Amino acid sequence: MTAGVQGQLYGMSGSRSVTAWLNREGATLCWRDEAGQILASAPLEACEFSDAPGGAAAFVTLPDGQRFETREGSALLALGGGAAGFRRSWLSRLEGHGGAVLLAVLVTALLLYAGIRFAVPAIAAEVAEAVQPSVAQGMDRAVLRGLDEGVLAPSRLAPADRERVEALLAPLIPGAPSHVQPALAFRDGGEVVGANAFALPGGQIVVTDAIVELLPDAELQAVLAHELSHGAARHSLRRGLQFSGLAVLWSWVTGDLGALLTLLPVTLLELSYARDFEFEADAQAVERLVTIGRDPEALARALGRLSPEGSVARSSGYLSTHPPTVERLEALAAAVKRVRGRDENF
Amino acid sequence: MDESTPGALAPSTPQYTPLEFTGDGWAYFRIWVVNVALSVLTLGIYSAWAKVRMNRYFYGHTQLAGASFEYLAEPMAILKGRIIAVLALVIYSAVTQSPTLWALIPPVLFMFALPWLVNRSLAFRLANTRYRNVRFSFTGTYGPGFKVHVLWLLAAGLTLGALLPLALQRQQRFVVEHTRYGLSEFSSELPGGAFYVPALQALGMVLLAGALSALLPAVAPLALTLGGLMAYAHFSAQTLNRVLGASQLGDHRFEGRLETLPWAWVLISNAVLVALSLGLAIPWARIRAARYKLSHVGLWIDGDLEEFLAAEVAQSSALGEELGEAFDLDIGL
Repeated sequence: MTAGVQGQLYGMSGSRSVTAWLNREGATLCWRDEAGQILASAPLEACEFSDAPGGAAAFVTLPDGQRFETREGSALLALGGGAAGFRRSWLSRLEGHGGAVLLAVLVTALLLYAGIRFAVPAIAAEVAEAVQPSVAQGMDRAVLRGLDEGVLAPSRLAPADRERVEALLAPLIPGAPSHVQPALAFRDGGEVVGANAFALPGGQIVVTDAIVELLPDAELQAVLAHELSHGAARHSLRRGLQFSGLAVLWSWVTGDLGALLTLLPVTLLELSYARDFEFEADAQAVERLVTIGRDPEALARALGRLSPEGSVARSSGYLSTHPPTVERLEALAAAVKRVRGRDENF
Repeated sequence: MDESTPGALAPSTPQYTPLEFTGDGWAYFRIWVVNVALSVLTLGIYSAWAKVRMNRYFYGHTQLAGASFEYLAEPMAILKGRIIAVLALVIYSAVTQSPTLWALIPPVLFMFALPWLVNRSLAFRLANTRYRNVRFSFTGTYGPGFKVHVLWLLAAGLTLGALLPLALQRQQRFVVEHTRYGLSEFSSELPGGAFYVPALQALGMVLLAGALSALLPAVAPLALTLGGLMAYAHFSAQTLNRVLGASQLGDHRFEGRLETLPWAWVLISNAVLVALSLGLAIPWARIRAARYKLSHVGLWIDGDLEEFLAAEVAQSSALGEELGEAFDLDIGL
């Protein structure tokens, strides 16, 4: 006759085990074999209960080192009847409580949102601010070297054309923060880069031959104002830092699961930061152009001219980080209106 | 006699007994999300408790021949190791950033610390693993560890990777041969050339993906990602099979039955699932991977598992394991 909680009873010195049935007799736990012979017994208070989270196996450790393993964890707990060693941890209860789990989901989502929306950009901006101009310019040289080995070729522009572009940039520089030393780098972007301009971490602006040939002076100047604003706000430096910040946040949540493709959410979030920066640079370019008395609508025209030709919409990499041209044009029109309205009030 | 041991019925012929994994996505999701919330709320301090909780769940839901594994590590030990590891990582990064020759010191120190790290890490993990009231342990020492983890890797680097499969074989054999279950030692007959075939096959997969992406640039990112994952799945599955197939504990031989395509499918679909769910599917991904891997690993039980004797196991600190994790070492099988 066998009754009680069934499991395996292990000796203290090895893997040998016997099937045993556990019963409580007053304040004593008693293990019996199939025939009802007593195998072991111990005072309840001296025994220790443990179980795997999620209720797989449960164990009782006897004071002499023998151990009892069973699948009937709930029956075992009931048998212990709340004795000191026989309680589920508060964590087990938390995990078993639907409301607590839901709360944990919400807390995590909220904290992650706050981290992504506010903490990461704010910290990245602080750190970017602290980077020495010489360090940032060193990065520029390294990035440009990499690009030169890859997609960029030496420029074929005539010296007169280069001087013309330099002259467009010069009036924009006053008013930019002292740490930015915008220098132009002329390159031939070939098919891949096309008509394009972009700012490097230290403020250097790369313009391709194609964009110089494509855009009239006023529009080219507007594009330079946009890129200068990227440099002044250290956008590309901040993007790098934000990406690292997101990756840290992400690995913190996902733990050891660091497979390649799982970085996709990080990349997507980073791209959304990048699009915010585009709107910001557009708005600041408008300010700069108005300050030096140029037509701020030239930037919208430049965008329109770059877009149908396909170089903005189609090329991958750098430019897929940009918002749709239509949205940018709308935001630009609003920015122009805002700046004009403000100036008229003065 | 343990009734649930199949070998008990026919003591003379070994019986193949796969590991059984009973973990469940929803159950683990509850544990995981509480872990994440508490870790974030405590600025990471709780992560030591979270690690213990996670391991206890996975160990507790892994059974062999009716008995369950147990994870015994103390969260405080892990927290201490983790704090020191983070400090070490900060110092390491700070010093290697310096433009002077000082920057060379940490990598050199790291090279000499590596064998110690691996040994301590395995010792901690194995000493905190219990099965049938008997603990595992690791007996690897510094000298042989230095040989397999530093010298063989240097040799692999100097031969441009030609000796890498041999170096990895030496490492795996070192790990298996220094693992003990109670007083019983594991043995390994893994031959030197064991990893060359899977390595060359994996290399072939990468080259194939490279050729395909050169021919069709439009599919290049997809082909390279899938090719890389396939190569990884193939190499990890086939080497694990070979290591296990050559390993023995007493009269019981291990066997791995992982197959490349199903394993690759688990890994790839997991990655897609996690990415699309913005991380919420992580618990299911971990459960799926563990289920596939564990249920394709087994032991040819000769007789039963009743005869192992327990040993006194010295409790080791978690520092080695936490340093190893901080420096992103992939230790163990």
